[in-house]
Amino acid sequence: MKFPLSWLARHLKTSTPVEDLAEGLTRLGLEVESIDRPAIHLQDFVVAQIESVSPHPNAERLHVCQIHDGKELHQVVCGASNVRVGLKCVFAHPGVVIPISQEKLRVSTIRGVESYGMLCSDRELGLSNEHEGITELNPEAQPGTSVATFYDDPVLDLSVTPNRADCFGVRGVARDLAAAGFGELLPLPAVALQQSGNVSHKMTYGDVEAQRYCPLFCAVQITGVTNRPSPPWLQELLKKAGQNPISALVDVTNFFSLDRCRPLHCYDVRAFSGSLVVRSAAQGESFTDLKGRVHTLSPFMSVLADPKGALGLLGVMGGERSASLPDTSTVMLEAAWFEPEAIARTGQALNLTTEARMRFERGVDDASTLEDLKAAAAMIVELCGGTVSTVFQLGLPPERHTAIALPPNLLEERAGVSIPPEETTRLLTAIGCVETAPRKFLPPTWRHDLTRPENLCGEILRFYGFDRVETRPLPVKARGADEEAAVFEDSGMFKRQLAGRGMVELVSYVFVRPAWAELFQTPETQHIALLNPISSEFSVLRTSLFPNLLEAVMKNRRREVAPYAFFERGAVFDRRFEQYERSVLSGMRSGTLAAHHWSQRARPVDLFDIKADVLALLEGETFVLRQEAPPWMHPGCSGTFFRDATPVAVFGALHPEVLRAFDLEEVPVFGYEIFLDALSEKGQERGPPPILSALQRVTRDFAFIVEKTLPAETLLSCLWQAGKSAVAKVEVFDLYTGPPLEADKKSIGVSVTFQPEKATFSEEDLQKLSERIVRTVAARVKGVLR
Amino acid sequence: MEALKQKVAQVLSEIAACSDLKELEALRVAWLGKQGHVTVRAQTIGDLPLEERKTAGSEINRMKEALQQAIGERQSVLLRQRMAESLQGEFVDCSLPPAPELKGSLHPLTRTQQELAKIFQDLGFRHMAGPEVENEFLNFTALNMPELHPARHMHDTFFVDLPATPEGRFLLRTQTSPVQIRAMRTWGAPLRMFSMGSTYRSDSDATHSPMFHQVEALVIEEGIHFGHMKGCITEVCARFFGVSNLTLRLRPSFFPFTDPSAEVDIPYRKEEGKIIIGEGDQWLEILGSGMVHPKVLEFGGLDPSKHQGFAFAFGVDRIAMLKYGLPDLRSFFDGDARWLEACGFSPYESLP
Repeated sequence: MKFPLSWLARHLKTSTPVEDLAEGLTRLGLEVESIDRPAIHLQDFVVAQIESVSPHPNAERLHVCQIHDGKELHQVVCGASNVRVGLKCVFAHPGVVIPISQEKLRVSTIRGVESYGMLCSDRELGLSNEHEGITELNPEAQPGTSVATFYDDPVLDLSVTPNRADCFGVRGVARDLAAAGFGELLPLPAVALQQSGNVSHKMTYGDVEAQRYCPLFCAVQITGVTNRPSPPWLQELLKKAGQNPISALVDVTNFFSLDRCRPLHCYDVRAFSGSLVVRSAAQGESFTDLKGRVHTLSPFMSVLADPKGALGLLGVMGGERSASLPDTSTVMLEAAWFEPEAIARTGQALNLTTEARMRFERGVDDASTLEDLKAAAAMIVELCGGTVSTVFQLGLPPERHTAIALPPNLLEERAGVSIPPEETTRLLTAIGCVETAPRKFLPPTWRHDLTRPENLCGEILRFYGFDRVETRPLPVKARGADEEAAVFEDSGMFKRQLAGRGMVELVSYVFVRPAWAELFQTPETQHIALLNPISSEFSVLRTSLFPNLLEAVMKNRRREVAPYAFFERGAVFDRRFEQYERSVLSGMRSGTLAAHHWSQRARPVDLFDIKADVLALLEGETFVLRQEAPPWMHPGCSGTFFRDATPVAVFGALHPEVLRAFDLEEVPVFGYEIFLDALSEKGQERGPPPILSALQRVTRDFAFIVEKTLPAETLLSCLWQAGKSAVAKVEVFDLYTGPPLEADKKSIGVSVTFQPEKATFSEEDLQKLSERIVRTVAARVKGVLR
Repeated sequence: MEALKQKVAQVLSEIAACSDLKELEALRVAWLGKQGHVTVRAQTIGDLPLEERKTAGSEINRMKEALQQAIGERQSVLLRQRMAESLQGEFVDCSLPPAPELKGSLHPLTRTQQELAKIFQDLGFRHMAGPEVENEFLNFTALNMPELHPARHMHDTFFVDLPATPEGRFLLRTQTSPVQIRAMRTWGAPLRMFSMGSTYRSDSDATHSPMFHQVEALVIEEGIHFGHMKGCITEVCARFFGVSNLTLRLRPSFFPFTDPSAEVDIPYRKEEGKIIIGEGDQWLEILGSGMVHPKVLEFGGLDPSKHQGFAFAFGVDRIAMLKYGLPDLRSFFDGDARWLEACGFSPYESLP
């Protein structure tokens, strides 16, 4: 909502500076987003009076003027024909920048006569295109004062909240300011209107739905109008409010919309082909609006129609067929009241935002419909001539206002403030409430948002001032035992661990490209997609964090910003999930791990770097590893940790096909996903303290030849079992395939550390232990000592 | 004996000048070894007449001691020299850079959310998380934003392709406020809760991202009113921004779920292009608040004639930007490692 200060002055008598008014409005909840002062650039131009005019000695059309700027006389050469002694004009001293040319004025010699400044025209000041002569100021203007004060009409831009339709009219804003003590609300100008004759076309309701949509429809007919351009004052006002002047008829309706939040509509009566009806639209009915756009209507919308079809989409926009044109001579002026929800539904369905819709869907004043209709008709007659008919009225204003009882202690309860009853009554009356009985208030007809005592409390506090409400500390409260679990859970410990392992945390969008989503699906996956995505790039909810992590690897690789080690915790989505989402922690490493550096050799990231990440996070969990993984993983180089039958984590190399989609061919990329809801809830249990034996440990190395496909884990568990309690540690120190081994065999070198319990091992003890191990390996996994 | 003495004196100066440990050892063997000159002479003392023995003995001993001491001293000098020389050969250029360690970091949003969670939990708030795919009823209707309410348009809502239920269509929640209803229904009153998480609106420019984060607080307790709301918001902001004596500005506003509603501004000033929060004469809007609307209490299953309370919510991303001077919201979600490393946090940094 944008309007100039001069418009506000039509409703509010005030001497408060505009900055203070703006501050006051903001404090009342009518936030002033900006104050535009278009005349601020005229600050340096001053009022001057012409003291003498004489012809230029060397040029016929020029004059040499002596002007007084309030301090002294200056000689100025001027070509304007309207220079005359005594004229108050706009004077620019040398050094002032002329707005239109952006040139700095200098003392100059014009045809041999020196000129110390310039007398300006509207055009030069950037005020209009008028350049027939210099600007003539009011004879009362005081020489020496800044010209800016004559043109300064600051424009306020208000952000009006959805509950305040009344403030979509300047009068509503003025009313709040007056109630807050910023001035006096001026009465509306008296309307003197001669009315004769009737509206020429008969009007009825077509159906009950239309009557519900439009409970009150009023109109007058104005015959013999001349639809000329509006007078300058109206054009100026509308322009300052951000509206284009069109013609007097249209401008008057726009003026009332902005002035009193009273949207009106003018129909050209020529277009009417017969009697009129306010009816519901037919399913699929076509309607061309006055901007020429064609809409397909639905039965929940209402139109004013004649036998040929819809003339206007009620409460939203007029039609092309009955638009006011320069040759329009008879109009029907409509003022109506529409059900806010019906207008909202219509506007939303057609995706049509208009000034009328914005107001009607928030709720305009129903009580002053007739009064405003007459005032608008009078203004049309004043600007365009013509005669006005009597009012035709269909329906009645809705009965929707009931008095609200304000309990005496409600303010104390809700805000801890006590305000004397006289003061609350004064405030509520100032915003238009009527005290119908003691402490019972009928809200004003323009405030549809006031329906409960809490709303009245809010209004009183708004004017009382939120800053005057005493600040109280929130009572101290200990967390109850039952609340211990209700803490913000963000996998903070996991995140810290991963960051400590050199990974960088990402936060990325949950919506991904469909092509990427498809890469991470199984036959069971049921994607959830956005119905109204910003773009096709962000249209499907991710089922995995891998696309986001891969994108980060890809983008950073392009920027050559290594290392590429990222993780994220976030939601993934699938129709099959409880509440459609799961919480996942996912990480990815790519490129080299150790840096290319003088002290070490870089090496590519591998599966076991990623496995180490997973194991660090899963410490304390019990799980089984199986060498299987979803289809987006490399089938030979990935695995899943299960707890019972539930996958807890997937890790491994990404499938080359997936990598190709992210421009990461031939690049090692390893990742993991941990399903946080599959982790056990209980914290890690601490084991008993160790027995610190003084007896020396002994280590023996073995190399076993086993089947290539045998999981190393199986061999290792054999060793633990064979060695029983004597085994303290088992480590794999070598892995070998190739000649002289057979092609389907591999050799695993293990180091087994034994811890004696009661006495130091003898050679014989060790021999026995070793033999037992070799025997067990042979029996269980057919392993042979190399 | 005199001749020996002279020779010893000569040898002592040889020892002092000796520059080689092997030569020094040779000298020791030649003079003090089993066949050394002094050793051999000492064995002949017994052959001397009794009265000379004592003098000769002590002279021999003096020579022996002098030699031993000289050799010992020289030896330690030469050993030190040798070590010094060998250490010189072990020179390492200390100016070389060590191998870089992989430096991980936590996202500024993680850090900010951890800070906020600590503040709320310290003030006795319990947390409830809510789903990101929410239904229309909880996201709007139960928050007093009926279907055709103009306020619904202010939320550019993302709808998803799940089949609608009696609770309306499914959408990506536009705010964390539906968790208020969930909490009231689960826990009832009295209630002191907060909720934090991702929210979505189809809006994208330098200051808006289609995904952002909100934190939401709700207090419904006996005797709680607007004054306590001011106190609670001030406390949370003061703790978060680390300022004492904070005075906020509350401006009336409109939210469908509260009445009265207030937008809250925090004071700030600019110093050398940096924004200093908590003092100054400029105001910055940071959060929305208000007394819970009676209809919202009803939707939460509470009787508005018996209960009242307040709620407030704010953008986590926005206050992270303010507190940590991060200018562009989009960079939060862009995954640029340079930004994440520079603007992220060490996992070892403790919370304030």
